[in-house]
Amino acid sequence: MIPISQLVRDMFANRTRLLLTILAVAWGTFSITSMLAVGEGLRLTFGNAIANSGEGSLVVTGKQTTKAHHGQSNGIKILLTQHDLDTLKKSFAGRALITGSIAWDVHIHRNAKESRGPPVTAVEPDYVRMHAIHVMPGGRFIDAEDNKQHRQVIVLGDHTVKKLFNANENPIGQYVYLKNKPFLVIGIQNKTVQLIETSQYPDEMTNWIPYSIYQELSNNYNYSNFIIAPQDLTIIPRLQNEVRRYIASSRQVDPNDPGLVDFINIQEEKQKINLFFYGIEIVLGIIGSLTLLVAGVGIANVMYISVRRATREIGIRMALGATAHDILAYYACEAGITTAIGGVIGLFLTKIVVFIINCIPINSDILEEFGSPRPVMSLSVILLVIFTLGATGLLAGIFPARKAALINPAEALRYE
Amino acid sequence: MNDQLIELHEIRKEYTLGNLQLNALHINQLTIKTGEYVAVLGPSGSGKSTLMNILGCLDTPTSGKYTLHDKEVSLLKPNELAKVRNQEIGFIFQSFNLLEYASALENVALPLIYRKVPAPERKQRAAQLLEQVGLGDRLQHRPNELSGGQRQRVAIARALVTSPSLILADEPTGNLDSRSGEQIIQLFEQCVHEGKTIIIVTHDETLAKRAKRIIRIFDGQVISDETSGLKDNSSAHYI
Repeated sequence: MIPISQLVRDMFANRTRLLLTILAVAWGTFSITSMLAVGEGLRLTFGNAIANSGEGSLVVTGKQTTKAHHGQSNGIKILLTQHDLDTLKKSFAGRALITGSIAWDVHIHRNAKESRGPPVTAVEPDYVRMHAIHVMPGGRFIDAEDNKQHRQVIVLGDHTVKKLFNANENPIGQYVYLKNKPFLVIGIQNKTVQLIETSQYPDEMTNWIPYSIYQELSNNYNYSNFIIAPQDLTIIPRLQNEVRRYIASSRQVDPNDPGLVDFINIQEEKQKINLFFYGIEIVLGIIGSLTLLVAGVGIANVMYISVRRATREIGIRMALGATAHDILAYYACEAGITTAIGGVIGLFLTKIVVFIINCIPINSDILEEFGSPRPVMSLSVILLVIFTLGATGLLAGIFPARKAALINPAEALRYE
Repeated sequence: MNDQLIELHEIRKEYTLGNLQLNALHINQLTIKTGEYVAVLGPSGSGKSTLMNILGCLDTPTSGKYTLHDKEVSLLKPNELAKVRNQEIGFIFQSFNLLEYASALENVALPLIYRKVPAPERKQRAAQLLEQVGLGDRLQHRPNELSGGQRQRVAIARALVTSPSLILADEPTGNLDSRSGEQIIQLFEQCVHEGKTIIIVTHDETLAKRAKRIIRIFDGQVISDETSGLKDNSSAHYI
């Protein structure tokens, strides 16, 4: 095999052609990498948004029966009760955590200001373990003691804070009023993007109070949702079945009634959304790959010309003892080195562009709504680009190199 | 040890052009011994280049048996032929066939790369050979910085660098002035003196006469074989 230094020197013998080929590969690499980085940025941003809905949990909501069953007429409203929660807690012990929440349609006041926005959600302390709540530093979420002591405390959502407080005010430690009862603000929910809504309103618009104080003030012992967090995600379908059977038997309704309860399987939703964004990434990747393909055709073309021009030289090398394998390796290496140099330049260029984009402050409400996605050059993107580059270089180099290797030395030496 | 280096038996080379069958070469029997200085003489189109290609393992015969150094090379595969070319044969061409962008040293070292000789040894042997052909002060010169005679001397150094048993020269003085040509011939004679086997393919009667044996070829067949003034026209022995 020819030493690499000599091979590189041979390649640089035709500098302009080499530089143009490298430029084509660099541009192709830049296209595919930037496209994939945009797709990856979207997927990761939305992936975080999914996690904000509570990873791997199952949300149960009571509905209204649609079938008559054993003398029961249809249209029975399924209310999730404290008794249901206690029974399921016992049944799921060691396999899954379960908690309940309810949306309370009550206005929040502060001085003359009033938030008529979304309701307050009354939750048990376990809620925070299953549903990712990000409380801003300096505050905390509702804990077991709050529930036990029936404390009048509240965690406000970003939306409510903006309505009731001035921008320079710190709401923590201040009081707001629910049904004229003072509630101490103990935490503020960080603004988050939530892709899968597990209740009527997204988290950033919700406010939380302890379930015990809700019961006391409203005299209602029902829940609008149960949230189940299994220890093993594979048992979700079984748990779903158990919930359905329990609700049906306790109400003496048909367990197969589609109107019984509604389930939101976050894991399933996450997979669907992930698939969607992988799809987007693939489409963007394909668009980028097409550019790289054009560069690949360019390399192949240059290599074919190179082989044709070097026919006599190939004959000389063969006369001196080069095997077909030596010739194949020589031209395959030439294509490989060209692709590698172009690829590294392309990747470096993308890295710079991604860095610049990430440094630009973009104040857009629409982008913020979606979690401000930014292009991300993750390891998987880099590996995918390297793989595509390798395949392009191999394909672009192998055919001309093979053509070179199959040259008859006697004929090649006659070539003018 | 058998002193027969080359043995050709019933060698034929045929080309097909459309429906036309061309017999480029037909040699019944030909042997060349180690240390011989042979000239293959013939006009253009006589088949001498075809013979050289077959002798140099650059091409394979359509039929027949070719034995080089006790090895039947007509049965070898392309990669094995490449090995034979590298280890047994040194080529010298009319148009020198040097790599234009490589220095004299790199050109001479090239066959050693394919023999997987380590770089320092390659350089040392190539420099030594260039010194022997009188180009010790031109190691880093590229072919276009050298005269025709110097280029051919680089090609001779390249042919000798692997210490081959056979040197094949195709019109080695064809592109040279008479003074340079004479220098090249003297180098060949020196090689023969050192025990090398040299076959020169030429149409130049004067050059051929410097060899100890002249094989005349015409229409793809050997028509005469003379050794040091001894003329043998018993064509039945060769044809």
